[in-house]
Amino acid sequence: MSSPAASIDQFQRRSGVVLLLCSAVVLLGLGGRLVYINTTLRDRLLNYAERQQQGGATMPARRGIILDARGRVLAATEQRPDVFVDPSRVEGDVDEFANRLSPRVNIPAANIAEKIRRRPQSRFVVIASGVDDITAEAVRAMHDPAVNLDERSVRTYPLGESIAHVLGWVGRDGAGLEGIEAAFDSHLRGKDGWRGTIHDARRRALRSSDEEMIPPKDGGHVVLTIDAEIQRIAEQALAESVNRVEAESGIAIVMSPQTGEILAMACYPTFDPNDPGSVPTDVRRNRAVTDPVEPGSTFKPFIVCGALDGSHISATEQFDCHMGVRMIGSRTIKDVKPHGMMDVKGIITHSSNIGMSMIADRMGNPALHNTIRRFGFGTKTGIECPGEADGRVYPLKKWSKLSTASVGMGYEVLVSPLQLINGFATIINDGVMLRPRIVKRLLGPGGEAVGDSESPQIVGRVVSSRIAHYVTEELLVSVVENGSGKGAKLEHYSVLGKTGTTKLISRNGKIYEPDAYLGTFVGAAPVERPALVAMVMIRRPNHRLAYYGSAVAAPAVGEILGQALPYLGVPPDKDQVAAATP
Amino acid sequence: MVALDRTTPVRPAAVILIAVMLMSIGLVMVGSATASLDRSLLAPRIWTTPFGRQAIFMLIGLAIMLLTARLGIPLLASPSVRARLPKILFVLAVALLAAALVPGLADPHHGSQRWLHLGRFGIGVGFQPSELAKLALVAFLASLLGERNANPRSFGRAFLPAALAIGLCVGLVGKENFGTAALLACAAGAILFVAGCRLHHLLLIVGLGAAGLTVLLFAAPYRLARIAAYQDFWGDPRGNGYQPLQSLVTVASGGWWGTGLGSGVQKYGYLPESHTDFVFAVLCEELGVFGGALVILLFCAFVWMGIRTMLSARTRFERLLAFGLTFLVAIQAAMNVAVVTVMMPTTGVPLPMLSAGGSGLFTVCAAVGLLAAIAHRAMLEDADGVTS
Repeated sequence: MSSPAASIDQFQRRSGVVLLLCSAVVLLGLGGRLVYINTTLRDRLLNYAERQQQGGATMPARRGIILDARGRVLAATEQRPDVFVDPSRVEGDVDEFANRLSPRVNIPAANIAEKIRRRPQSRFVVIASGVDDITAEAVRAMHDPAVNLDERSVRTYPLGESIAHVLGWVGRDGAGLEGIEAAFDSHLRGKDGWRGTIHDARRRALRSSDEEMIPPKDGGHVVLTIDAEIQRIAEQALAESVNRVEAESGIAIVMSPQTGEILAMACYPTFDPNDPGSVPTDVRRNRAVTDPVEPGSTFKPFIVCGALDGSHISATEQFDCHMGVRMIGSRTIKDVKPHGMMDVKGIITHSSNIGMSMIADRMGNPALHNTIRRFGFGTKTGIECPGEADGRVYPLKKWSKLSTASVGMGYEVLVSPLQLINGFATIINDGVMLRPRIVKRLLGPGGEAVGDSESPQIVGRVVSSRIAHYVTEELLVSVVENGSGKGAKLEHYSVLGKTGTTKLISRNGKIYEPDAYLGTFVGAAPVERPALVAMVMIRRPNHRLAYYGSAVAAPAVGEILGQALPYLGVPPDKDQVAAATP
Repeated sequence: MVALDRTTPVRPAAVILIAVMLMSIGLVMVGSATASLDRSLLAPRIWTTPFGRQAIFMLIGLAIMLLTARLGIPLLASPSVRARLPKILFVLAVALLAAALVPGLADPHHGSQRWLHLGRFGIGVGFQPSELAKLALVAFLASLLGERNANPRSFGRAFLPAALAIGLCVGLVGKENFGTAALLACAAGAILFVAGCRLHHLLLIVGLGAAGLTVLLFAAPYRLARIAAYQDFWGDPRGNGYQPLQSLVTVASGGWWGTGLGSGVQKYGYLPESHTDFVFAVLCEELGVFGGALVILLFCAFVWMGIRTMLSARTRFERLLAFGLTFLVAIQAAMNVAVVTVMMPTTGVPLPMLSAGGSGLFTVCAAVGLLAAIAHRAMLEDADGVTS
């Protein structure tokens, strides 16, 4: 028992067991460490884990569409993903990879390979942006982890440059920057949702965390009063007129006088809302509402309304038109053609400045000022387009002795093209002013109606029905029949209207620029109950070709009315046989 | 003190069963840890995925285990084999370790040259000589100190050759792989102690070993940085503290019952070496403290089997061998779990039977097979008359 060998065996067994038990105890102790980590250290470690693992992604809301009055799509949002390559995950040869990708995105393989080689450290090399459905599907079908799609929605304007100034455009981030896109941005935009995610170390989503999920609210839709076909007619007539007289620009507006709805609103030259950056800001501004001008002769019917309504003059009264030249102090007022004694009908028909100065004298400044203000000049109309100008009507105390004649001729006031046509619409609508509208109704994301009714919004009566009828049916008809508005005459419809030609103030605002004119015509048809009122303004025509409103603008208005009325199904009111044999 | 006589042996199948259980858990965890967003678990070809490779390694390992268990019975009975095979193995291991340091043959892996490249047979096959060295050194020491005519108390005939062999192995391994060197030194010292070497001889070697390890430590600056950082991971969470912090985050993410098998997040790029040295962390994330404790208990059960085998061994050689192999596996497991739970600096030692990898698995399988063979021989009648 106590032999040396036996004692060594005993020692070996004993010490071996002790050492092995020690190792087991260490292992069990490490089990205790596991508990410690999962209790005492747990909160701080889990907090760290959350910070590095949790992220989130917005679930973009779909932007609503913009429609015209007949449901044509004017602006829509499409999914147009970007195709990008993660160079670190390209397996094998870059050229071989580029060759495979090339036919799917329709980009030369050499270009792809070069893009990848130029930024080898990047994880996100965009190969093609805003690709269509077919390309996206072809890229997906590659099943190559190096190629991915970055979903992005793109605003598209199916009618291209048409209605661009009214619609406006959106920025890269999808926010409306101009026009209806900006004015109704919060309605169109909706509300993005949020999805919390757990991601891997390369920030690729592994799964969504359910407790952090806010679904997106899609944007609502906007229906405009614009009729894309009438808009097209107006744009075409405007473009032809501008180009014919080599003008700088032009504006056309078409309204329904009975409802205040804007059926067309065009500026020329126009631009592509898909690429607004390619033109100067001047071109993108919706000048029909933002840029006031001196109205000139087109202003005269409003003064006459005020004079008749206030019984300052009578319809039969004769005025001495001084054979074309009248001195007021040191100032000389001239007419285009000399006239002797004329009644108000003659004054409007021939657009006599001298006659208008006599009428203005008769009214006096307070009545003039009151008349202008009643027609809404100097105040925004309240149209839904952003950036509308007030225009400018000086306060009465700032008027000088010369102001009486100037205002009577449509100078010393600034009115926006929209204010001007809305004033005409007021006279045509029995003297009742409506708020001009370009948004017919708002729809929710599902197409349900949102907000108030579509009925016309009445601002108030400006002139009596009797006088309004007299001015339109006698005076303004005569302009087209016998006076300066002959260019707007139509074969099948009777037209009324008023021309205007103003000198343009130089860019520094001090003097009238030589040979710079604004030619205007406002017209409506048919006379009995005008369905449409249309206005065309031609700015800075080549004065050697033509510059009077009667020449540069009246034919365009005739063109617009002549095409739009049949389109709307308005029956012709002229005896066609009589018209055919003048 | 309790007198420990030779006891009834454990069933060899029980040793193998525990090893197979641990290996199976390891295979599942390797599969989970290498799950990828980009491909399925077994695609494109099964042997090219970490999971598929580990499954193949496991099958080879099982074959090695069963072969060793079977062949070990006659081999252990032969005195000449007992005397010569450990020496041959040892020389082979030392030669391979030296070869791994030759630049042309080495396969640089993670900045350390610890792999020997054995050519390509359609798939890359590397071999870590340090794994073979573990087995060889334990066998060599058991043979040197456990033979019938050996005298462990002798300085010249037992201690000196043993010390030289340990020094050679530890030195060659330690040049590139500090963790395994420390492991080898620790296991070898334990064998010398258990074999019955004189205490002052041992203290001498402990002193020398400590000095040697210190030299190795300062030879590679990154080791010092790791040691400095390991407890202060909050101070440098993206630099040297990254690995320990991510390991703790992984373990803490599991809670008591885990996030569920396959549901771990840390393996997706946050925790480096998640399927090799840190597979235990992934296991704790997905199976919780419960899963971690289960693995620890299985290792304890393995230690218990080792104790029973050691106590029932027929010869001193087999006793020392059983002790050495069991102890090696036990402290390697402890070392790995200690690293994962940030109780010691990162060393690069895999968890036996669970971490992905071939060389280490084959070594452990051979060790388990030897244990089973020793246990089997202990059940036999005392045919060769050796008793204690």
